[in-house]
This record gives sequence, structure tokens and C-alpha cells, in this order.
Amino acid sequence: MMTMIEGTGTQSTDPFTQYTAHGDGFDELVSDNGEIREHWKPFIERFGSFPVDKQINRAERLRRLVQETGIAQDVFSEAHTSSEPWKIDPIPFVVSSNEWQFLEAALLQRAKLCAAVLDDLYGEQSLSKAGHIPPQLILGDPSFLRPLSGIESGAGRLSYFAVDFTRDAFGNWQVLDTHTETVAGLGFALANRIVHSRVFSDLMLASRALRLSGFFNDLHGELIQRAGREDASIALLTPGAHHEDYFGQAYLARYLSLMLVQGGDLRVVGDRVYMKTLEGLRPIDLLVRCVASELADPLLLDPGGFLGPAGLVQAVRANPDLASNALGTAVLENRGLGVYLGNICNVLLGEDLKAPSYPRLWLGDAGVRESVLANFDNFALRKAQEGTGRPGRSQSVILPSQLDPDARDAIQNDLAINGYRYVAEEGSRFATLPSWTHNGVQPASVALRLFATLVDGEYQVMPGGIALDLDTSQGYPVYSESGNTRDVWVCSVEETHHHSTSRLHSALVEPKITRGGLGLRSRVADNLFWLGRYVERTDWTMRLVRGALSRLDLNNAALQHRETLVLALDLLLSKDEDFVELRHEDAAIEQRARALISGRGRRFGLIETISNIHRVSYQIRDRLSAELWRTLQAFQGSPLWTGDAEPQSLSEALDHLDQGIAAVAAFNGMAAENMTRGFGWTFLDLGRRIERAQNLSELLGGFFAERKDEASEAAALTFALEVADSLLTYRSRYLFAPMLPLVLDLLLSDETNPRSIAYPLAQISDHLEQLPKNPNEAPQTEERKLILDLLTRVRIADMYELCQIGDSSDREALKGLFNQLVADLPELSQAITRRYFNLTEDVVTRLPARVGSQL
Amino acid sequence: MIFEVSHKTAYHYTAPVAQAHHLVHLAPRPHERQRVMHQSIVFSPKPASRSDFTDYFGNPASAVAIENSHSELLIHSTSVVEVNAPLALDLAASTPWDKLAFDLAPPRWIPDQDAAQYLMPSHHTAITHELIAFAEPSFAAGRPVLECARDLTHRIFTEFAYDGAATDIATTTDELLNIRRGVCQDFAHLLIAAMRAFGLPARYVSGYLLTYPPEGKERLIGADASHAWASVWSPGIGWVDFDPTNDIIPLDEHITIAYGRDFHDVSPVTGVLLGGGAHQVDVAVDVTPIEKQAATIRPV
Repeated sequence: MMTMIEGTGTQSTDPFTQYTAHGDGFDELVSDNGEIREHWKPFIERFGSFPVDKQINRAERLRRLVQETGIAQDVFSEAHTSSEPWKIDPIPFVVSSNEWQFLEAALLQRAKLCAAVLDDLYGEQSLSKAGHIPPQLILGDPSFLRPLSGIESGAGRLSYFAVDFTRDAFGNWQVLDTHTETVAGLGFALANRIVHSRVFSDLMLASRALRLSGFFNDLHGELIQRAGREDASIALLTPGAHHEDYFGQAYLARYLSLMLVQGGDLRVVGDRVYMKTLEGLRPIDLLVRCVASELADPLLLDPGGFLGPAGLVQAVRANPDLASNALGTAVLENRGLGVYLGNICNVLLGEDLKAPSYPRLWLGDAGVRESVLANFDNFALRKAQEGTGRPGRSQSVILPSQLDPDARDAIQNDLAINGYRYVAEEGSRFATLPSWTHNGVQPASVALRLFATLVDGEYQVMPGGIALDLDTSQGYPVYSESGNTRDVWVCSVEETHHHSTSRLHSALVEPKITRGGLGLRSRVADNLFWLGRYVERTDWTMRLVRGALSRLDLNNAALQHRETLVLALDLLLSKDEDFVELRHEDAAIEQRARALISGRGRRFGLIETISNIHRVSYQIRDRLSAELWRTLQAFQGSPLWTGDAEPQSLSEALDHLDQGIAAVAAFNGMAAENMTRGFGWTFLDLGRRIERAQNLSELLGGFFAERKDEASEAAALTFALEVADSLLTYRSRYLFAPMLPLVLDLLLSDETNPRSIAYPLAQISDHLEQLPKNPNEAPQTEERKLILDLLTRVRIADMYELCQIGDSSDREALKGLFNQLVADLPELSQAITRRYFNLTEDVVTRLPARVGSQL
Repeated sequence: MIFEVSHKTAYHYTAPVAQAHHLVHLAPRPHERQRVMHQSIVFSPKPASRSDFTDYFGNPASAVAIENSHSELLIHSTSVVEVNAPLALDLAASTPWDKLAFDLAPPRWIPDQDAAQYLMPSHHTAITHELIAFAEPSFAAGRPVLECARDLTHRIFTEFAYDGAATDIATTTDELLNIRRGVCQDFAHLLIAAMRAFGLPARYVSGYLLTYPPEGKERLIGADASHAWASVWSPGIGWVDFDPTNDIIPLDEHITIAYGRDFHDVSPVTGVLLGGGAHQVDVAVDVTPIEKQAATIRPV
């Protein structure tokens, strides 16, 4: 097999001529007589005719865009862990229009069927009364939520529905899994399409692939209609950034202009759900639910679940269409249901299932269980009640033939008691399609996830989807660990046009001019505040380290400078508990610099601070523009930023720091230019200003509180000016070498110098004045008093007095002022936290209760 | 017999509670032997919202929200209830347990929805091999299902000691089987889990016992608090109550509040609080007979 990487330059080599489907099973690309299928030709012929370097270039651009967009299954896997990154195969899944007619009809039928079954389960339960479903199947599933029973839904319980289709080796479609709980994977499918089409738009057009914008337009229109008013508050309820679906949820929320909220952001008062904002409670009209229903109300559902607000079920009782999907829809994901669905389809819809469920046996049936146990090694077991949510999640399949005797006994014992929790399936063979790999184009098998959504009471199918690689090496379909995904192109009969329907011009919305947006959530304000702090901290650490290393590089550092450099770096290193003073040598400076650049777990180290930036920015992804987000992704690109590599030379380290300082500047510039000056901006800037004032205060206090010899002081003065980016300003004002009173004036009290201490203090004071006030409270709150005190002390300080030396060779006045700054700025930060972010800190207690223990 | 029931629950918090949501099952449910003549539940402080509804299992329930800060919550439920003893019952006439289990298991099932609701394991009634081993001696082949239940009731009463301090809400069935001590709730769960382990429907009953017994009768355990027992189903007969804490089949001195799969479905008071710190709870239950009915009929 040809290796793509070793292609012969610009010569055209069609990789697809080498592609042979494995075995004799059905192949998507190549027909039985060995010819490329008609609907694949526009893609294959064009892509195949590209020179090899152009093919590779496209694949590489795709990979890079995935990284810049930040598509990830798990945010915390991105930087430091070995977990597989998100991958999009350059080769899409191309579906012919004939094939699509079938799939669309099969999906629509199943959506209708599932909606009808749900209505029955939460209503009359006539299906189990009539013997069409064993009651044990439903009643033994913890996803069947009894408190939701009997609540009539007006708009429909099942708004979002998805199915994973697979094709067997004979070319027959089957339904591998059904997704009924949330918009599982829709955000990922959208992100995949947007990224993939940026690289392959020409081939998409040539293939007449249908566009998705119409579908999302309708989805958006439906949300607004359902919320009941045009300026409604519609929120997407997410479990939070730690959840593996978070990226998809945040992406979808952004695309549809929904607020992204977590359970802690919400509160139920009376029968309504409210969002906690800086200005108080704000009603929510519609929740796009992306949390597990069971965990959405600790009062009436799982008492350990806090992913939604206590009382949500009560709110739903009063307004059944508040949440979509409705609570409790996950029960239809039970794999045992597949056994009965064919018959139910005949009963409820009077027709045969168009695409059958993947053949499985439900082991809650004692007779079936006995026959499976009798041929145990011929089966694979799966959990029947497993949440099937996100694309690419690998799900465990138990292969009895590969278990050791103990494990085999254990599973048999469990089956005897808990058989209803399992399904069994026999091995199968699957259709193939081409996949782009390092070893050329190779056959792969996929699950094709297609989505339907309820619009105006009718299901609509998204003309696209997401295909997920299956690992079929054991003969069973398991979502592949490698996490390869691909875009799904649905070929249109007619030519497609580049028409620019944008979701922002949805026919339903007559836009009104609004300013200031919706109330800022306390949790978002908290994260923006810390984003500001961490970005500023990164900048400060990089400037300090660069200042120190550049002096070594110049090779003209007089001995006495080292002491200054070591002192400056130690101010940052001493934040860590394990800090021990290192020896005053050149090597010690490099060692310190290395610890700050590449050392893990150092509070002011770059690895730690950047991973904090990553963490908090991910939590508020929906608040950051794509450009702003991309500036932060610069830190993900190089292993030097993730701590997976260290700079090998002084010059490499300096280049690295220069790039980092430029990236922070790009972020700050982008934020200053592009963020509206709402409260979000205020908190970002507050964080940044407090961090800057704090760091500079520590440095100046550390350098000048004690008097040192003249050479040291001179070195410290220049160093401070340089780190504070004020050397040029000093030189333009004074012709002398740096002198303490003049430097202090510039770096401490000059309110026109953004790099001074007084400037950020004045900014903080202005910001605090603008924030919402509680009218019942005295105007001078804790944080306002603190900032006023600090600002006044800095403003009235006399530079020459500060420089006077007392008996103990200390500069007492200077020491006093800087000690105060260094002590009070963290106080200020905490006071702001207490006032504005505390709404997120509600302590929730659950009353345990017990009968009979009073005796 | 007609009873007046007073059930007071008082929570005292060490820190103010900013907001509280509570779900209570404190109103007795009517059934074929029980008539509810009066019922009221009063909360203090007064809830900002209250919704009285019938839950999935047919029990009356109330959900309330208290929006103002409070350090004390009082809930007082008062009821007047008439209870009649069941008719004479021939336990031996019930369906053999193994036939019933066979009939109820997939792919066959008796489409009696009410019985089906109580077949599957639930949070507090996990089925384990230890549990099966414990219950096995009561399930001789062909034995009528209600006799199995009566035997288990007696065995739990004789093999387990009543001890209010030995278990808590998190105690598992296996732990209970190991320590052999517990309260009424634990014994009810054990009986229910054992029946379900053999494929038979059994449900949890929360309720009260007569506090001041008629003269000459001994005061029963669990009389000054909420009580709990189990109920077992047999086709043609219906649900029959068994009280393993007192080794009896309840007659007209057990007042039913609610049915559920286990305690979790029908706990008298639960809640989710914002704030509150630590809390202390005091419960006072008084059950007083108002008027005595004619002779009660003893079970066989």
C-alpha cells in the first residue's frame, strides 16, 4: 500500500485506485463489480486528481482547523492527557439521494414511533397492559421517571431525536442505538460540517451536498415559537465543562444564540425557573435540556442529582413544555426495547419498521437468558440501560469468550439476578467505506448518526449528520477508541446553490435593538474575572522571565545583577510551598526560569497559569468570540506551552516567551476592540487590573523596601522599568540614569501610565462604581472602601518621603505602603468574590429522613 | 376503628435557610379498608407556593417552597381516619409462589399493572445472593405465596433485634443481614426485597400505629413515630399487609399513609435547602381512637 507521506511531490497519484474494500461485503464507495458508485464520483475524481502534496495539505488544514476550533470530547483531555484528540476524516460519508430517501423515511418513522411510545409510558401504559412490552423492561429502568407520569405535553416530549444507523455486509441498514435524551451530538455534527466545509467547499459543491442552514433555521424558529415571545430567554442547560459533551453543547448554544447555563445558575421560585444574574433573578422561558433527566431535580428525582434546580419537576408540572426534550425521555434508549419495537410499530402506526433494530436479545426474559447462557461464548453482552449519548464514546461490550473463569462466574451470577439490565448479541459483519490513514486509504466501518427535530409538530430530518468510526475487529460494533468522525454529505438531485440563509434572519424574528444583553450570570462573571487575572499573570511571568534570561543572553550582566534577577524570580517561585532558596549563580537563574516556564504545579508557573486560562475560558466559551477564542488557542499549539517539551536553548526560550507575550497582547487587543463594555468586560478587566497592581506592588516592594548597594539598586531600577514596559517612557522624560523617586513616580503614582500601580487602581475604582448596587445597602461597601483607601494612599504619597531611609536601613514609608498594597489587594479580590459571585456558592443541603429512628 | 392522628415535625437549623423546597407524604391515602374523614397539613413559616397532588403510586403528596429566610420549620398534619380490619383470610388459599413467579416473568406476564409496579428491585431493596440465601428456606416448592410472606415476617421478627441506633438510611440489605438489627423500615425493606428476589410483587407501606392501645393490650413498637410495613400481592386476593416489626398481619390499628416501591418513594418529609448548616429534627406522633367499632376479626 502506498504511503501518503512519501508521495512523489507534485505528481498526481490517485489514492483511491489503490483502495480495495476488505472481504466481499458491501462497500459504500465501490460496487460489487468494482466500479466507483455514481454519487461518490464528484468527490473521488476531483480529490484523487489533486497532486499528493495538495491532498496532504488539505488533510493538514483540516487537522489544524479542528484544533483551532477546539473540538474536543473532553476539554481536559486536550492539553495534558494522552486521550485521543478529535479527528475528522477528510473523506466524508457520501449518501446518494435514493439512499437518503430511505434513511430519512426510516428516521422519521422511528421518531414518530418513539414519541408515541413515550406518550404511552408516561400516560396510560397501555402497551404493557396489552402485553406488547414486558413491564419489567420499563419499570426496572432507572431512567423511567415516575414523577413525570401523567404530565401532558403540549409541544411533544421528544423534540430532539437521533439514531445511529449501521449497514451490514449485505448492504442492509439497521438501527444500532437510539438517542432520545438530549440533542446528543448535534453540536459536534454542526462543528464538523463547518470545519470540514471550510477545507472542502469546492468538493461539496461538486457533490451537490445539501446544506444544513435551513435545518438550523427551522430549529431556531421553533425554539422561539415555543418560548412564546420573541425576546424570550432560552437557555441550554449543560452539566458543565467537565462533561464530555460540553464542547458540542457550547457550540450549539453559540450558534443558536442560546444562553449556556448550569444547574447552579438556576433557581425555581414558585412554578417558574429563574437564572441568577448580577442584577437578580431573571425568568427563563425555555430550557434546551442537555443534562440527564434523572439528575435534574434533587427534590423529586435522584436526590444526589444537582444538574438542575430543586423544584424543576414542579415547574414542569405547571408548564409541561418548559424543558425540551421533556424530562424522562432517556428510557427509550433502553436497548431491550429494540426486541419489541417491531411489533409495537405495527400496533401503534399500523406499519412495518422500515429499518429494523440491530438484532439483540433482552436477558430479562428467563427463557432467552437460559439459551444465551447455554451458548455463552457465541454472544457479546451489553448493558441495556446504558446512556448512549455522545458521539465517539466507547461503550463496553462484554465478551464471555474472553473472560477468565472468575469474571465469567461473576457475570453469570449477575445475569441470574439482574438479567433485565443486559442484552446479548451475536457477531456480524459490516459494510465498509474508505478512510484516510497514514497507510493510505483503508476500509473502515462506521455508525451513521442522523438527527430529527420537531418543528411545528412534525419531525424534520437534518440533511447531513456525523459518522463515527466503529471498531468491528471482534465482530461486534463498538464505537472506536480512536474517535475518528466524518461529515455526512447528502447528494441532492438538483444542483445546490450557495444561498446565504443565515439563522440570524429567521423569518420569525423581527429583531429589536437591544443593548447590554441579558443579565450576566454570577458564575460567568466569576470566570471572566479569573480569566483576566490568569491572562495578566501569564504576561507578567513571561516578562519577568524574559527580562532575566535576556540579561544572561547579553552576556554583559555584572555579577551584582544576578542577585536582583534571583530576587525577582523568587518572588514568583516563593508562592509555592516547596520553594527553597536556590544558590545565587547563573545556573540558578536558568534553573528558576526553567521552573517557571516548564515546571508543573507552580502557582505562577506558565504551565499552571495557562492551564487555568484554558479551564476558565472553556467554562465561558459561549461568551468569547471565535477570534478571541482562537487567540487563546495559540497556547495549545506547541508542546512547550503544555509542558510536554522544554526549550532546548536560551534563544529558543526567549523566542518562546516573545511568542507568548505576543499572544497575550493579541488577546488583550482583541478583547479591548471587540468586547462590548458590559459587565462581562468589567469583570475581565477588574481581574486583569487587580493582578497587575498586585504583581507590580510585590516587585517594587521586594526591590526597594530595603536599601541595597548602589549597583544592585541601579540594576533593580532598570529591571523594574523594563518588566513594567516603561523604560522608553522614562528615557523620554529624563536624561539621567534611573533614580528611585523618578521611577516610583512613573511606576507607582502616574495615572497616565497604564503600567503603573495607580492606573489600574483608578480603573478598579471606576469599575466598582458602575457595578449594580443593592439600594438597601450603604454606598460604601467593603470593596469600595478598600479601593478608595488604597487609591488615596497612592495618590497622596510623596515620592521623596517614600525614598527616605530609616534607622534600620529600611525605607519605612515605602515598606509600609507596599505592604499595605500587597495585603489589601487580595482582600479586595475576595470582597468582590463575596459580593458578586457568591450566588454560585449556595450551599445545598438535603434533608435525610427516616422512619422509626426516633425511638 | 376511627382515629385522630396528629403528626408534628420540627426542624431546627443552626444557620438560616434562605430557600427550601419540601416534598411531604403526610396525608393518609384512602383505600378499600380506610376512609379519610378529615385531613390538613399546616406549614410554618407559610410556604410561598404549595401544590397538593397525587403521586405516581396514587398517594396524596404536597410540594411546597418557602422563599423567606427561616431557622425553624414546623409541619403539622392532622387527620381523622376510619380503618376496618380485613375479612378473614386463608393464607393457604393463595397462589403457589413458584406458579405466580412463573406467570409474572417475561415472556409471560399478567397484565395487572398495579402488581407489576412493585416487582422490580428499587433503591433500598437491592437483590443479592446473600439475600436469596436468607430467604430461600421460606420458599419451599409449591408453598402459597402469602404463607411464604407470613413465614418471612415471623423469621425477621425472631432473627432480628429492634435497634434504633444500629442502621441508617445508607445501610444495605447485606449489612442488615450481617448485623441482624434495625428498625421497622429496614425490616419492611428486607421482606419486600426477599419477595421480589423470587419474582413476586411486594410494596412498602408507610403509616402509623395506634399509640394508646385499648386496656389490657400491649403497646406496639413504632407507636410514637411513623411506622412502616410491607404488603404482598396474590392474584384473586389482592394486597395483604405484613408487619415484620411486630410479627402480625395488620388489622384495624395500622393507618396507611402511602404505598411505594420502598421508603424513598414515600418518605414523610424530604427537602432541599439553600443554607441551613446542621439541623435537628423532632417528631411527635399521636394516634388516638375516637370511637370503637364492633368486634375485629382475627386472621387465621
